[in-house]
Amino acid sequence: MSGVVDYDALETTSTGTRLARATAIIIGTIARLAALLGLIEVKASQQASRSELLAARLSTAIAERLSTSSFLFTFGNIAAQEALAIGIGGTTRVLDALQAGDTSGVAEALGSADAAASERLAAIAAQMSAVPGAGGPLDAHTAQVLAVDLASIEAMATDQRRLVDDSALWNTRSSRAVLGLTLLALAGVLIGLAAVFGEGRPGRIALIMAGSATGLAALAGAAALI
Amino acid sequence: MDDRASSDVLALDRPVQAGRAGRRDGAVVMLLSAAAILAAIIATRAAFLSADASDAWNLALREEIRRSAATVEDVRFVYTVEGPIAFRVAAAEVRRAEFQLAADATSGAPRDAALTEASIQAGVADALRPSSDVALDPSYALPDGGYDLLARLVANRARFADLLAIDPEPDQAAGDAASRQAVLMVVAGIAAGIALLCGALVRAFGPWRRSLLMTGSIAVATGAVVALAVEFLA
Repeated sequence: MSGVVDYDALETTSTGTRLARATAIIIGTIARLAALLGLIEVKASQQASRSELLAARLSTAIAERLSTSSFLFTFGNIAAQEALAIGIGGTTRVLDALQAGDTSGVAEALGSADAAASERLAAIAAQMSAVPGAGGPLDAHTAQVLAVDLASIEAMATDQRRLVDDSALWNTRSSRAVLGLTLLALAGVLIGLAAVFGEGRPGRIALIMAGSATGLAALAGAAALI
Repeated sequence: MDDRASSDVLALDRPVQAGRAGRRDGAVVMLLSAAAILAAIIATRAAFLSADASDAWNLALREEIRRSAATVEDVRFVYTVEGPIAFRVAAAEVRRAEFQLAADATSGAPRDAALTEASIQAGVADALRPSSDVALDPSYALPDGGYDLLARLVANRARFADLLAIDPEPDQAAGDAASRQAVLMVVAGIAAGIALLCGALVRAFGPWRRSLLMTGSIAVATGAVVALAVEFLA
């Protein structure tokens, strides 16, 4: 019946075939999912990078505090030991003289001088190894680093471990988002193939596979949010 | 109307229909093109902003390492190189003074022995002092003996003002700001995704064509406005 208006065909053209509708829906879904997965990927990779670098900064800061405070405390301890050793030497000198029956008074004079020197040197050692207070002439950072205590080091180490864990978690999310974007790219290729094959069986199979890949991409995106 | 006549009528209508279809397709093409261009611009800008954020964070880490190395070296030098020599000078000076006091308080053999010890300690102090910049500088001397190592540390640190001025926090904050801007920029890209969705649906869902085109156009415009706001205000 050539030449007669085919109303079925006109209806199909105006509203679109099922294949065309499915194709349009999948393409649109791919575009929306790509935007969302892109957002997740950018956010996750940024957070992973930030956490990783902050953890590295904290590691550096912990090492800095341990090193500097150990220099200060080691100096203070050795100086105090030297002061104590002088005092012990003086006392030993007096005791030895008493045991030997030395009544010249030499040992007592020298021993007393050493004992007095020991006391003064202990005070000097404490003053020379004093932990700087806030607001002094020393710059704030160095003063803070030298004044560190074990509790704050432990707190920093806890933060550092948390940041490393955060980085790993965000990296996993980023990988899942990338997996989703890869599946979307595959879905895009399959949609193109479906358009080339048209209404036939190969076209429908390509379309179903494209829809499946899009669904898997959506699952990967959902997993990236966990 | 016979078959030939109806065929002629359809043939006459064909250019008109083709023209309408062309205009309809043109609107869809324009919407899809605008959405694609917007998405490309947003993605490019977001990539640049992400790179800026990473650069700033890496710079903050490098600054942290530089500051840490400078601080550790300055503290190490004062408390493991200069400090011990200064303390030995101080110890010899204190012992000399105490032996001198003992000599002054006694007489005979104890006085002679104390004076000898005081002389020995004075010799030790004189021998060590030239090796110590801290002990040679009277400005570091403490009133009760010993030397002010914190003042020495302050002076040593002040010699390298550029190292003292290192502060990684501004770079960290700049990285955070760029990262936040990148994420917001990608959020603006979601509007481009909505526009692409609408454009894709137009041909398959003819009756909703006008609504879809309108929604898509609004999405593109919204995305562009949000992207501009993120670029210039965020």
